[in-house]
Amino acid sequence: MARVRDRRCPFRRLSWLLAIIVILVVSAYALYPYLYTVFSGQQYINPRVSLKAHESYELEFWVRLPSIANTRPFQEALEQCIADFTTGRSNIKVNITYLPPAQAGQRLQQALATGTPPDVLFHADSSQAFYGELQVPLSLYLNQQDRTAWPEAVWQQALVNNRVYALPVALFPRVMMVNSSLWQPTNLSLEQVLTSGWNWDQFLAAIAEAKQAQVYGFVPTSIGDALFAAMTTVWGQPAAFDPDGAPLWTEAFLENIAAGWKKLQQSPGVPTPANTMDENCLVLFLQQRAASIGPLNHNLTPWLWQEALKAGIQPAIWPLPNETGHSDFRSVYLAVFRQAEYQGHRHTKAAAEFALWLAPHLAEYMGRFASAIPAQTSLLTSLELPYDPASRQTYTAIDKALSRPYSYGPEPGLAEEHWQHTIAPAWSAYVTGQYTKEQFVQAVLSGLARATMTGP
Amino acid sequence: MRRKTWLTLCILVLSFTLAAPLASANPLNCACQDEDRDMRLDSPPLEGTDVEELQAILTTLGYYNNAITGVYDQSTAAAVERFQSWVGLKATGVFGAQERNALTIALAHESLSVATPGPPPGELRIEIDVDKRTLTLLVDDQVFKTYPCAVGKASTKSPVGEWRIIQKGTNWGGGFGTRWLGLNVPWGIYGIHGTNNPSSIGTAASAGCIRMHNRDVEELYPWIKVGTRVSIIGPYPRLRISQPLRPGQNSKEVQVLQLALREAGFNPGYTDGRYGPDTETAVNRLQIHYGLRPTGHADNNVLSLLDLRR
Repeated sequence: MARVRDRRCPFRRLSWLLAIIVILVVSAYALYPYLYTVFSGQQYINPRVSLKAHESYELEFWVRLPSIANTRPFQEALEQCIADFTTGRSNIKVNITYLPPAQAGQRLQQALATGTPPDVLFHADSSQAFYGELQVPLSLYLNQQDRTAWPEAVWQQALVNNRVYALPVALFPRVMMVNSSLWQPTNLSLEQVLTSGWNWDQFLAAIAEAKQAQVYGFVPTSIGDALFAAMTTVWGQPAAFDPDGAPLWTEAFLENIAAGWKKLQQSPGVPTPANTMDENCLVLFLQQRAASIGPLNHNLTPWLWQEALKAGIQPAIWPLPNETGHSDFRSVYLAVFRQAEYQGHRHTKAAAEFALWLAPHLAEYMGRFASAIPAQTSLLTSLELPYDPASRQTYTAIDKALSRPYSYGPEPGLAEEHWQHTIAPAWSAYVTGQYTKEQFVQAVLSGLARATMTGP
Repeated sequence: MRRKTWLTLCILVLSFTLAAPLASANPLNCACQDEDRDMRLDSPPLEGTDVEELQAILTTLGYYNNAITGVYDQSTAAAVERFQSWVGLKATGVFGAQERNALTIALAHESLSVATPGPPPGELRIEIDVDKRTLTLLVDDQVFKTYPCAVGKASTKSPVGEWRIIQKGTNWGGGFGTRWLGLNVPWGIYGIHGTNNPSSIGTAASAGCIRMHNRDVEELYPWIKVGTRVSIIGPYPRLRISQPLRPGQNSKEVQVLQLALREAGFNPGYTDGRYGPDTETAVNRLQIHYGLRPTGHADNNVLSLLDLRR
């Protein structure tokens, strides 16, 4: 009998075994969808996990404060905000550490290298959105509705490999200011420029037309780093490196900037000689001896606006010229990290929840204390600015932000060093006539190439 | 005859016994010298270990500020003259027996002063409040003692700012009283000193210096070393600056710049009127903050931003 049964179904036991295995695998995948990722050696984040009331979560929050004269009110507001967050969540504790400005990059670099970064980071002086593999992609925690809170251009700036690793908090606008009466000969209107943009050549033509006896068409606030940084945005590539650390600037790109400077230098609308072009710029504008001035950062713009009004000038804020029709807005971010040592999905979730909750509050403080623009459209209406409606529109047109990251590769701190030691000296040598265009381009390119080399 | 001899011997022994402690207390009694000589300016000048010793003691007492050379030169004579004036002797510049005795007494007084209980160990700092007319000695930022003082008149205000003691001296005489602690104010000679007009203490009466009772300044004097920080707190002068300022300059205008930088949140270090590296760094930071070219020079742009431009 036994032999007969065996002949009828030789794989019966095997089939049962296989069925059980399949059921187990499918059930396991349904319950723990990240198992495959974990077993294949990849890191997995489970954004759907819920925090447990009986568990406690201690978060490390590192802050590099914005460059403002008195940081104390900002700190007080931030600490109150954190207290508000933890009041309703007694199982979450947030430890805040203020990074000294000079050491922020270095501290972060060390923490990342040793696998012990903070849970949440806010670096108000850096536009770096991506810091490497320990960073948690925050887009995982946002649904489609949340996502529309940011204008597309701002979102695009934060995008790295099609994921948003850091939440855009606030944007720093870079603009120019015109003396409305002295600017009239240009026949350009702000509405027209805001609608269709204006490029470098149109800008040069305008400052030549605005030139009168004893009145310059344009005075730069700086012929150094600030002008060069603005010009990189004019030509559409503000960051020297991509998020993976590869150089972005090409020979043609740098030649365009060099040619742009040469044209500005030769314009009849600016002071001469070139290396003194930025001397007394504020005084010249306030004494009505310059029709326009720029680039202005978020600290200088409100100050100059008030001073211009006191001096009887009708000022207007204009966007800087741009070859791609965009405006110059540099974003700063909130980033969330995991430790190299596994802490659990709930800890990461707690850090992400804190970051998502904090972002709009931080945006408000950045607007109130540092004249930055909140990155979320809904927060723009409550922003207090001293400008007239048209200038306010220019200053807050974040939907026109350049859709490219301003970040400088995944290693914090290094980008600033390259800038200080390679790019800034090369630009300075060029604008003061010590370098030819070719020497400038070669100096920057070789500096970028050196920066991408790994040591022994 | 025998009795007379014994009597003479006894007197001699007694006089030697009594004289011995006095002689040992005299700092200028040197074993290598048979007897004390009078010291004066001479050609060739007097030299020797006794001159060297005199210079060292006069330095300790604050009358002599030059190098100890062992040569009785013009500066030594001048120091002796200052000493003579202070002790009420005729200022001749000659160091004789009277001066030797007076010096012994002065040294004993000095050692007594040093023995007065002083502040505990720690960093000493002086804070002068122009409005309250008080001078406070702080040890590691904790108040140790507060003295009344007189400050500058409305027309000759005391220099508000952060200074250092750069000079110590005694018995400048007259209105300067018994002690002098000079400050490194770059635009004039200012200091903390005693007075011959004690009733002026607590008022605004001086030409800018800080006056104290002689007993107070004498107490303070041995505790304060050259280099001690002195803050004069009061209403800051509001000047307008007509010319750009550059590193290396020392002036009231530089101090006004430093005060304005500090008010704006850019730390220029001590507000001492000296445009040094700290001030240059602060100006650089301000320029970067506002997106200007960082030159470290307080040009018209910087002066405008700080509302200092005339």
